[in-house]
Amino acid sequence: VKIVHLDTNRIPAPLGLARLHIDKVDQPDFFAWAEGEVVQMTRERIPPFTVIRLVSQVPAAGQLQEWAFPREGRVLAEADVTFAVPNNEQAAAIAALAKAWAGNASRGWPQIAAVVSRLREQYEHAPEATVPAGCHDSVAHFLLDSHRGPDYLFASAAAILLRHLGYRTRLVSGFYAAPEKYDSRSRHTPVVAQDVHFWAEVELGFNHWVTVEATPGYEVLQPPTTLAQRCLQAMRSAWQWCWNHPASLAAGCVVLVATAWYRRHLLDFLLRSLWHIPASRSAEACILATVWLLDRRCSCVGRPRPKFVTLTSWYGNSDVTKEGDTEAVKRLFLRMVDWYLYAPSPIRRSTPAWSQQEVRATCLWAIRFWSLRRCYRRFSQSGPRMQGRST
Amino acid sequence: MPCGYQAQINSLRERLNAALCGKSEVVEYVLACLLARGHLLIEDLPGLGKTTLAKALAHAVGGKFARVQCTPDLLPSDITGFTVFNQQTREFEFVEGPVFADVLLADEINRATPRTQSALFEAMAERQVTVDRHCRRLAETFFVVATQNPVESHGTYPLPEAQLDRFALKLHIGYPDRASELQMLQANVGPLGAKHTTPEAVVSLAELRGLQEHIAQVAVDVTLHEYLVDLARATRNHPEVTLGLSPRGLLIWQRIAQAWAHLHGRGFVTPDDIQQVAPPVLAVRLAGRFESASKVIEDIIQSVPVPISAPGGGT
Repeated sequence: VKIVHLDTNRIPAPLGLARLHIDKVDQPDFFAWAEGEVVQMTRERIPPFTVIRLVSQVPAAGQLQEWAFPREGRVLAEADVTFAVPNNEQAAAIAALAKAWAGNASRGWPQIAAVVSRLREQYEHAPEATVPAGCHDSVAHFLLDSHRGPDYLFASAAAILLRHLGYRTRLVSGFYAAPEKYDSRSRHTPVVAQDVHFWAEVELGFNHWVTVEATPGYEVLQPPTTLAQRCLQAMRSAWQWCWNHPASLAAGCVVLVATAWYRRHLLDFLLRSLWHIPASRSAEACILATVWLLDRRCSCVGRPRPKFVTLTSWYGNSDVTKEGDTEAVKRLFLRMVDWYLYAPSPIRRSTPAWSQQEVRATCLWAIRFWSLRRCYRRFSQSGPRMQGRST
Repeated sequence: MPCGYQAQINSLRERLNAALCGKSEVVEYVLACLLARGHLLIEDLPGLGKTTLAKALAHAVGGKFARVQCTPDLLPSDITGFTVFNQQTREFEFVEGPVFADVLLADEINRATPRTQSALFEAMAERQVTVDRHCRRLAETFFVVATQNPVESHGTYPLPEAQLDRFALKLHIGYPDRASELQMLQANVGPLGAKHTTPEAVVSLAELRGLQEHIAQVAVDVTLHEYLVDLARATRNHPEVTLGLSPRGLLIWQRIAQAWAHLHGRGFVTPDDIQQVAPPVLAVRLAGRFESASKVIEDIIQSVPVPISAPGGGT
């Protein structure tokens, strides 16, 4: 936390404060306890631009599922403000409402969550809403009549409802660090005076408390999740999405399977389309692009041309047909490959053998001739062959 | 390629193929060796046509043919020549040895002593011999065809590496196939006199020299120079090879590849040419602890990627 301007000596800290560190303050008598677990500095206000490092231990919601919250009557006294409920004519209605909302949920966090979820789902957060003049029980008016109100009414209502169910609660005010305001570049979440917020806390026992956020749009900061938890959460979200969108899921699966099945053809189509870019530049570029494309096809069918095998011996030996015209064009293509790849530039400049149109047409023929299917049929049947003769 | 050169090569090819039935591949290598101005070592069993091939080649190029049957008592002067005193002119005269021929057949060269074998060193490498402190030039088209028998090892002196490195290729002729043997038998039926007539030359020495000049100008791209150098270095780094390719061997390899490209109708060398002539070029000069030279050569070829790129400059 970086304090810019805070007109108090109370250190703003989340619930469950475990460690606190302020740079250049290393004496414990600079700190003192304020009310509850709130720490304060023994001076009038926290100086501007003070950086405070805080570590708090917050129980995760998932870990509270089995927690045994203290029962009513165990440690409670009549004067215990954390259990006091208004004693008026609406008290019975509110108690009934609390029991109805709790339903069959087991005592503990499931019951608390059931009540809070009703508030969050069925009540409207209206910061500008006010209590009518003459109303003596604003919480009862909010719960039973208006169904809308500012955050302090949500917090108060949650505290009262849970007290009716036998939980010790308290109302807390502080600042809300909204996640959506987080600036990833400065890695700060600015908190201003307008971020003052009210929420309720339920006692876990032994003076440990847990935050209950009843106001819609506000979230409780959860402890960092582990990788396994994130994966599980992602899987749950994915499953939820799949369950809610069966048609989209089916269409996606069909597209995915088709893409996987025809991946070689799709990639080849893409590369063949890109071939036109270098092919239109020059005869050399056309030959190079064609050779690259054919080599790519061989790799695609699982039989890449070994690096030590020459192009002529690799593609020259790949004859599946001995038709005269086909063989002649194939030989012409291989002659072009040799000419444009290995004839030194002065020779090529002095005696141009073929026009660029002829080269392009022959390369197009070669691309059609050594199709993916032909490459698969031919090259997957035998290993590389060298033309070297033994002596 | 000019038509004249192609016609001359075709004539040579036909003549050699007629002399050695069913061995067109061997004939191609022999032609490449001749056109590259290299020397040829033929290693094979007796009676497979080594001498026949050498004689046919000598007659085809129209040059002077000489044959030396190498034996342990053969002296260097029997090859290079010697000086005698002519009593009539009262002067010393040099009597040229068989090395002054255009095509020299050194039959069973491994039967000559190392001293006699070394008499051919200078002739093969520099096309000259030095006798009695006089340096004498040999023919520009001087071509040595040496043969050796790989089976009989008694009374033989294996050729030293220095001598082997002066040969361009080592070839095995091998047995002909059935059809070729039948053809050979049929061709050998007839009057005896016809077999003793010397056939006319199909290429003159001057034409052969022109062909060799033309071969030397076959272009080799710089990427293929790099490929050749990489291959040469691979021979030196191969774990089973104790004596890799020498720079002289590298030059010969390039020249043979040039000839091979020309024989296949191209005015420039491709990686195929280099690979296809690699076995006979390397077989004669790689020494090591290997049992199969062809396997080692294949390893070497497979260890160097073929260059595929747009060529830059050229030679």
